[in-house]
Amino acid sequence: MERLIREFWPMLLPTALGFAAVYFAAPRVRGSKWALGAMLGGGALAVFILRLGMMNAIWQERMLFLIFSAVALAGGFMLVTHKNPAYAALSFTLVIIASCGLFLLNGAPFLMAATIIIYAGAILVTFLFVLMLAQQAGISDADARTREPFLACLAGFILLGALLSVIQRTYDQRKLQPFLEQARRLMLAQDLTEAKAILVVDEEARSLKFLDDLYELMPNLSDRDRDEMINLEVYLAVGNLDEMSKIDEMRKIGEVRKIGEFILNKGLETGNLFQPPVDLSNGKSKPIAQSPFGGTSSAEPPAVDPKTGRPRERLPAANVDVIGRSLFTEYLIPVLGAAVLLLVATIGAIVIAGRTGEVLR
Amino acid sequence: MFDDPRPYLWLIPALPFLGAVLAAFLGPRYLKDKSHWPVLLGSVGACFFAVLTAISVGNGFVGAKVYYTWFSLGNLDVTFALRADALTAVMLLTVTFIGSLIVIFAIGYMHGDPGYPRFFAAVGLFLAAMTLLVSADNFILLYAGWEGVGVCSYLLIGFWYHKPSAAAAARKAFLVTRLGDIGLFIGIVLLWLHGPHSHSPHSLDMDTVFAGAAGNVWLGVACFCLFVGAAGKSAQFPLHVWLPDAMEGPTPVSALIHAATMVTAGVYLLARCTPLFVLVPEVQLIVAVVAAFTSLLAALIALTQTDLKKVMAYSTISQLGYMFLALGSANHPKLVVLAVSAAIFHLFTHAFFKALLFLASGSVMHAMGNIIDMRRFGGLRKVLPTTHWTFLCGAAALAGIPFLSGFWSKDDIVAATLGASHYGMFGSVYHGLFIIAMITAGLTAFYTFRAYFLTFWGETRVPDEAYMDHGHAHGDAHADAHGHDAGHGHAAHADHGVAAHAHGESGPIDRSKKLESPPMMLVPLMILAVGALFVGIALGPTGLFAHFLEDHWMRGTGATGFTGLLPFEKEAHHLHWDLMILSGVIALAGVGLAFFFYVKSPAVPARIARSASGLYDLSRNLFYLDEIFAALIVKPAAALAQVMRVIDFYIVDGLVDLAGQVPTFIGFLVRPIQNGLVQFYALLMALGVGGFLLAILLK
Amino acid sequence: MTPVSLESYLLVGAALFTLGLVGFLTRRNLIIMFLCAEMMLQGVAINLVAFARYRGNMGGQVLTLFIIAVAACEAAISLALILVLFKRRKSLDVSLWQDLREPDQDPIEDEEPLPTPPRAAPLPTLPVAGREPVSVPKENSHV
Repeated sequence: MERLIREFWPMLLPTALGFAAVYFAAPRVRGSKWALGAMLGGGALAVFILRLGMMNAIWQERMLFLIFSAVALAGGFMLVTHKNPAYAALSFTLVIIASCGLFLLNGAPFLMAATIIIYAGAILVTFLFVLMLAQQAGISDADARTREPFLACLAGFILLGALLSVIQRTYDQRKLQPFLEQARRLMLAQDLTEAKAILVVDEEARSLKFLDDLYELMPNLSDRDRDEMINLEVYLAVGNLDEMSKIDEMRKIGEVRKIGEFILNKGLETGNLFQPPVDLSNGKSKPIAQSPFGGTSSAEPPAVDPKTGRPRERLPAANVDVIGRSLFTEYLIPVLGAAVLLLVATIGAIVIAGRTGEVLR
Repeated sequence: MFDDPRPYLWLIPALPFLGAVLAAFLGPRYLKDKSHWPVLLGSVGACFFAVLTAISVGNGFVGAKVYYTWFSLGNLDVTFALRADALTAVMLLTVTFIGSLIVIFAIGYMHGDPGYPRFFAAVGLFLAAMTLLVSADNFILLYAGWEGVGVCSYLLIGFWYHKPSAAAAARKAFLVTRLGDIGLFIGIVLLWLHGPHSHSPHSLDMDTVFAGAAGNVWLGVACFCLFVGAAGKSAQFPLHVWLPDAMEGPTPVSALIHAATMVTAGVYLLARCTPLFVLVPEVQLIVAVVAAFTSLLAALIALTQTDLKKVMAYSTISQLGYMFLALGSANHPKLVVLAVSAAIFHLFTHAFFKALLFLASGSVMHAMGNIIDMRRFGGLRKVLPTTHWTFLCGAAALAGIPFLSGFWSKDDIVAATLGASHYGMFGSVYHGLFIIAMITAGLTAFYTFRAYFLTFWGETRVPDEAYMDHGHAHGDAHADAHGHDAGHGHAAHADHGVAAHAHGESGPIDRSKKLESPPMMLVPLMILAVGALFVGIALGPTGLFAHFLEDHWMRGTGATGFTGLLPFEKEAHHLHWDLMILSGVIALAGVGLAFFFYVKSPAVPARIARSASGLYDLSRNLFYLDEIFAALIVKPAAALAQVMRVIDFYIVDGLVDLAGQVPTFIGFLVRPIQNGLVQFYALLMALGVGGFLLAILLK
Repeated sequence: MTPVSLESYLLVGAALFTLGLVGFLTRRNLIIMFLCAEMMLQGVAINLVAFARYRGNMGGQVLTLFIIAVAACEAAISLALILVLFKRRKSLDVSLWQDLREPDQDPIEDEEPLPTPPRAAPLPTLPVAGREPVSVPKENSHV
């Protein structure tokens, strides 16, 4: 238990603070401690953002991401805790706008536009209309209370803590990061001396420490993968293996580079970030299957760019185009289903809300 | 076939059993009035094979055969093993022959009874169990047969089960014999555990037990326990109280079970275990004393009873006492042959004349419309001639009139007792027992002929019920006439007699109706009468019976138990003239006295009864033994049962109810979760999911 | 320099989802409850779009589109139902609907009533001048 706390404290601290924040800020009959809640919430948000911000990314993207995330979370907090339902609905609009910003950052412009138009524009306005029709008197008895605030917050934040911890554990690559950096530099090494310097090779040792540490961090390697990597020892003449001395140096460094690329891909794959099928034969990524409709499909994931050592991203710029094509080819049946659903919902809403017979008792 | 009975020996129990099964399953639906056929054929077949067995044994065969190993428990084999020797042959002949005759009688007697198939099924089962008992070669099988006859006795006494008195009598019989069975079981276990061969698989075979008897330190206690078992089954004091009440059953049942066969199982047991008893003369003394006391007690009670069947029942108890007296006198090598063969011979002849007497009583009862109280009828010798003559034969045999069967067998018994008083240990005691035996013989003659004279002589009185076309529920009428009231007049019986035939047709009474029983019932009577008269003289003084037993059982080739117990040379059978004259005189004196009291001067008995009213009441009320037992045993048991009932009702049932309340309580605790609020349910769901995730994370 | 990691987007999505869950469990106004449910959907949408980017797979965005469509249907129907419920009890309080509880349970009721708003001070009135006119009450007039 203690071990868990020590491992996950960056996640658990904002969770706890957020729990306290929502608990205090939740509307109560005799007045809620909104100020205290807001402060705690601010603190939670700050810690969270700090944690999120500790990453190695382009500062523009990082800034935008942090701003949008902060706004989204703040808006969510307001939705949950504000007494006046109209204000709460409006803060939900804020949430939607912020998450649309996040959509845009992820290369989904169409979705951003669609969400704002449909969600914020139509659905929320409808909600506000109904609110206006129903609760003209302002804050009612119902709004001023909460049901079981303590238990609800407890449940929610236990869930959040668990989720965050799980996510962190799955995606935590900080230990692997230096190794991947070394592998990336290996990819670009010019000759064997440099390669040996990068990897800090001790020729007297029996095996490559770099590889040993790597095996520990990547326990799911198959035997074939290990066989590939073990050749590194051979080429770098670890353990004084001199069988390969006859082979040309250029050939050796080429092999070393290939192995470096391989390790990088494997590392990124372990971090579940990318899933490239890399063909080591010519260093270029070869797609497994080509989608006949153009654009990317699951068969052609991005791979590592050999020139810069960066993962190659291949989201097509023609976003609307690709979405449209996917919708009407791969996802045709769900589209039809959604259409039927919309039709039925329309008819249903009209029928249900249109009943004027059984009104008052 | 005439040399080795083993191939067909097993048929003797099997055929009546098969008959019983057929009667039970096919009787109610298909055979109905013909349900007697399977059992009749079974018993006649068994009789046939019994005769063959006797011939084989006479040709020299003595041995046993294991037919089937039922199971093995540890190192004990429980087998279905039957033996054939003279004792078994005699018992088998008795049981099957008398049994077949009684089955024939019952065809007529039970005609029209609604439980007809059930009756014959139970009788068949009884014959199977009894033959199994007497031919068993190991004690477990004997015990099985013992219990079997107990069960059949229960079924048959309580045959008319809707009568509360019959049901109570059946229960009483079963429970009292149960007390005896405990003793038997303890005895068997002691013989088994402490014998020197207790680890062999055959440790309960009779031969093994007899051979190891000398090495068994618990032999005395075991033999005493065996005697307790025999006393229960054969109605010796104090376990005799069930036999008079057992007269509630139909008369053929009384004849078969309570006169000729089942009650003799105890005698058979002690005879079979002679090698054991001879080694413990003290136990034999106990046997003899108890037996003599019982026979005297029963004879005294029988003097004053008014129910004909009850007189016969007490007479049975008394005669069984004689048999045990004989067995108890076998405590010297010179006496073993005489005493044991005397007991078995008396068993044999007693079966004939007692069965005859019971069947004749049944015939009287059948003719008199189920009345058996002797004060309500009289002078029947003109009305029921054949019954009269057969009854007279039986009564004469029972009384010991010279040269009839009872005379010879009783004579052998008193000779044995007298011999024990000369030769064996405790001679003086046996001398006293001899005197008691002679007194009882006189009493026997007296009460037997008292019953005879009261029934068949005097003024001819026939009760009205005899002429009614009485319905066939025989049971309710007669059994209330037991002498159990405090001696005042039986006014109650008058109304009982009238009321009991509410089921009969109350039409005009036709007094010209012939009352004698149908031939189906009379033929067995006549056969038995012939036997009662002549079987004794044919087998007794000629020494045939005794030598048969001696040669083919005690000195037989396969017998291991009797080595060292018998004198080296066979004694010649000699007649005890002095004893014969003495007992003949006593018997005739008893008959004469009865004649005087009940024919010549009928007023005398009443006068004596009034002047000796204390003794008269004592005898009439069975010496109050039933009341003593009720106070000592029955009431405490009832109190214990009441306590148990309270425990069961409140404690045990309370616990069960409590167990039933637990789910209700848990439901009561859990129900508030469902309070109708959606958010509450969603909260519980979220808590659940959070809990799961935590559990996974913490693993 | 790597882009913003997938992990970050997932964390934000998870936080938004949980906020929506807490709000759903806490608030008593039917419409606000529903909005919190919508916020949960929004958190999921963020997740989906992030996965779509990091796997180069269009399926995430398409599914988000469907989420929007389904959310629209859901909103329509739920608002219709809310309107019907409102017509019954004249209130948007979800605690009024407890009829599916166990038959022998009492309904859960609020213990503390809302503090009544302070009575507004009565408006000043003019003193009566002159005589009061005789008023003839008209029929069918409800004042």
